[in-house]
Amino acid sequence: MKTREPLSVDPLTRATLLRRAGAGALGVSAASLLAACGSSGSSGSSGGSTSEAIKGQAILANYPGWMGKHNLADFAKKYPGASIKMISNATSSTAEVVLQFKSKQYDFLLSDTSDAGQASAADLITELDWSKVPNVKNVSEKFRKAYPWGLPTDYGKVGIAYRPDLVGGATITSWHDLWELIPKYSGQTVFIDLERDCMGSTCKYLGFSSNTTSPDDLKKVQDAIVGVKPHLKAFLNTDVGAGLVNGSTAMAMDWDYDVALLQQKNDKIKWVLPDEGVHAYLEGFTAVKDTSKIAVIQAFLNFLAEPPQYADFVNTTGTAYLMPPSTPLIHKSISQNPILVPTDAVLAKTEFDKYLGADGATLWSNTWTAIKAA
Amino acid sequence: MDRDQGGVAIERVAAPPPAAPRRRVDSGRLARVALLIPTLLITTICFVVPLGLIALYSFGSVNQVDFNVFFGWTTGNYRAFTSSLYVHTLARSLVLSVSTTLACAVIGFTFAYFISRQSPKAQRLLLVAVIVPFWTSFIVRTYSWVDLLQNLGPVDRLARALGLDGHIDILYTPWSIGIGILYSYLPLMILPIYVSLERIDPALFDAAEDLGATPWRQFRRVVLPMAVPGLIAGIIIVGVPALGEYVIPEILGGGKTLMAGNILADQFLQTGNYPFGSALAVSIMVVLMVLLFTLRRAQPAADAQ
Amino acid sequence: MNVRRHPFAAGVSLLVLLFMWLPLIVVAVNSFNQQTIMAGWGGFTTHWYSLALHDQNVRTGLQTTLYIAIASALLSLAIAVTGALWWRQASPKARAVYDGLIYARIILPEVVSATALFFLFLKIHFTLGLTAIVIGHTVWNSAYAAIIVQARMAGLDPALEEAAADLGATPWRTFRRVTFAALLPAIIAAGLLAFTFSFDDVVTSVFLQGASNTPLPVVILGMIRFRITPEINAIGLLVMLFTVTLMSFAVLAYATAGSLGRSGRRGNMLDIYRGR
Repeated sequence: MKTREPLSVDPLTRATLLRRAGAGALGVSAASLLAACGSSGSSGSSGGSTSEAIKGQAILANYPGWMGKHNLADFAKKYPGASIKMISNATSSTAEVVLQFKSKQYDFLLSDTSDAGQASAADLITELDWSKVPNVKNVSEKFRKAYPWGLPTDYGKVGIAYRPDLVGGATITSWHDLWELIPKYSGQTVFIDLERDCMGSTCKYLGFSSNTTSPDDLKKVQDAIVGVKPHLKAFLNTDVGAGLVNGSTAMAMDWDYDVALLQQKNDKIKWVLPDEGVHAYLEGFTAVKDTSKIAVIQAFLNFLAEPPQYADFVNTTGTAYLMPPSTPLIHKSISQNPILVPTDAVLAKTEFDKYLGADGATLWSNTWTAIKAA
Repeated sequence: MDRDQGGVAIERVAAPPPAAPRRRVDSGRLARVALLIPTLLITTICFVVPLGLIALYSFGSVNQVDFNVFFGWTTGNYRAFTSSLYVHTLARSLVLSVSTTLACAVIGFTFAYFISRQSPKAQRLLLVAVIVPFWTSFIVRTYSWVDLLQNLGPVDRLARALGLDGHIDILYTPWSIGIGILYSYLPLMILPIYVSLERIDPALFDAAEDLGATPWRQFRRVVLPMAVPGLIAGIIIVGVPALGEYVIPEILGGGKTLMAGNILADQFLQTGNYPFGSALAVSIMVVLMVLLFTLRRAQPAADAQ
Repeated sequence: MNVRRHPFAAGVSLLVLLFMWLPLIVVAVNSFNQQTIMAGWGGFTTHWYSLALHDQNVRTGLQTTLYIAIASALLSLAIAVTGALWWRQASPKARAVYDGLIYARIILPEVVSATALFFLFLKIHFTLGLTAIVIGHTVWNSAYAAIIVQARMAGLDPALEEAAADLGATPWRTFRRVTFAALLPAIIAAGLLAFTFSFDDVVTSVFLQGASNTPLPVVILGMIRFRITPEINAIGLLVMLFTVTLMSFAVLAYATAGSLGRSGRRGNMLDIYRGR
């Protein structure tokens, strides 16, 4: 979750806060326990309901805080009788996500293109009735096409971030430049510790599609990474570029919004959208198969795609966004940041992850294991 | 039948058993079975059955799209991990885990011994002092080690102030993984050893001293034998999970040192290759169970009752 | 504190305590750090604490985790103690099986056990949620507890209990005054261990959570998706303080109940002879 300067912290005194916290945290109230124990999957009623009544509680598995501050409350106000319960169980592990689809404990999930694609192939999702979600027209065409299973909400490109002052004033404009500099500044480069991001970027470096499933291509990817691995500082999946701020890292493969934030801490950090292109993840909310709350879900997603609501979502999470109509309502630090603005030129060089199919996925994970084991 | 002097037949009956034991046996039997019920419930339903499922999976195959597992009878999953890739990783894991466990045992034993020689009040205080840091989140604690061990971090700056050339370069190496594992498992080593040592009567020490035994001899003859059950328990509690650790190598090892735990966890969390993961798990378990039972066989104290 | 007799052990112990608390100091310092990136000090602020205390996710998470940890610890203790009592009078063969099941529960990697339970619960249509998590935790917590309790039990002299029985104590009284008292350090240690394990558990909780409220460790895991923030550290410290407070209340309550202090040494037998 991005840490931006808080936009609206209630002007409570510390004493009031502590008192509130004390009342809430100490003593496990029986009522809340019962509620916690009793609330199980809501998809109990048989048959996918397509009735017009938008009533009931839909359960969403999501990252903590990955929602606009007022989205859920405003939705409940607009549709009395309907509400969303957000469970913090999102994970970037493919198997876990697919199991979440299978378990029928949730009505809809945050999932990326690869996981939603796999879930769709496994017949575990419910396609949305887009006539009920007309606001989806606010989403740019490219993102819509890449994420057809539900409402896409955010994405992140993987580029290069570096400190020119720590690499002898060199300029990096491509993955090629990066690969050349890594051995020269041994122990000062960080790669992302996620299979699709790390290998996908390497695919771009080598000129392949970041969704290739050719064994030859992947062998070259493996060699390219293993070749520089001795000179890498680490593979990280959180705080990837943090070392750039105090200089313990000189170069990093990092996500765009992460770099945008880091630049606020140290303006010597430069962002590069490499010449060869980048890959990006794209995620959104997808409905689980046979959920009985599909009406609520569709209403909510339509609601979320309204410009003010989506702006709230983006402003709270700080993520790179994909609905241009919301731009006037989004903070300038996001909407006017050249790193984050999805211009056509940038999007032309961006390739979104796809589900690679059973064999492709196996090939990629075997390659990744070999890379990590080296 | 005997006859007494008066000719009356006296039946020679066995003396009635002492009252207490008989009472114990009768109500005892029912009570003994009842005592076992909680354990039976948790082990059969919630452990043996899922384990059986895992064992079945290990001979099955999986649909890589929807992760449905098919029961089949193939040994492919077991043969798969004899590849050099996995053997190499397993060996490295073993070395790291074993050495960390040994370090943990030595340090933990010393600490447990020290605690056990204090007054009951001080004992409780020390125990609490060693456990309380664990009531923060594991993730928070482990990432604070990243902060501590990084170049330009506190430890590095201290070392340089003390005259070190360059940087400590500990973070993201197997050394930092070792420190992380040691840190996370030390209380687990200390507790069982302490529990064993605590019941040594201080009078025994005085007696030994009076008889002229040197401190080392006292230690060897009095302390060490009593500590063995706890020590073995500690080594098991620490050594086994240390082998399967995958989070610490990721965080403190910078993802550069693949351990057995990573491979295992990956199958269940990332690739969804449950049959292969199950085969791995079953193999690990079989090996360790054999090891443990051999250990038990060689250790007479535990069965003395 | 008895230091002079064991200077070497004392020295090592001091280092151990420093070692254990060092990360905590880092956590505490960082929780007041204005700098959001963990790359140096940026000034003092209590902002993260107000953020953490304000966060509904965190509050619910703490509640949920406490419930799970306490429930699992109590269940595990019950299982461990009853099992240990049975073990004493069991045949060697039965003992071997019992011990084997304890070892097996500890050896089985948690990620495997969690997945297996997940599949099992799905198959038998058992609703995932807090109960499922408590069960999942208890499976291995009870094994750890059993090991500790048994390590203690191995040294108990049955003569003590026989003496109590001979003197006319009922089995329950014998258990309460002799056995339980003798086992108390192990029970406390085992209970603390089980609580600590559950409190911090991520893997089993993630798999068996279902649609229940999220336990705190899972909340924290989700929060570090992109970066470690001082808020995480504030949460860590708050949670620790809260748990210490909770534990202190529990200990105080127990002490006032009057039974604190028994250590199961020979002295206890005198108490029985004196008819207390």
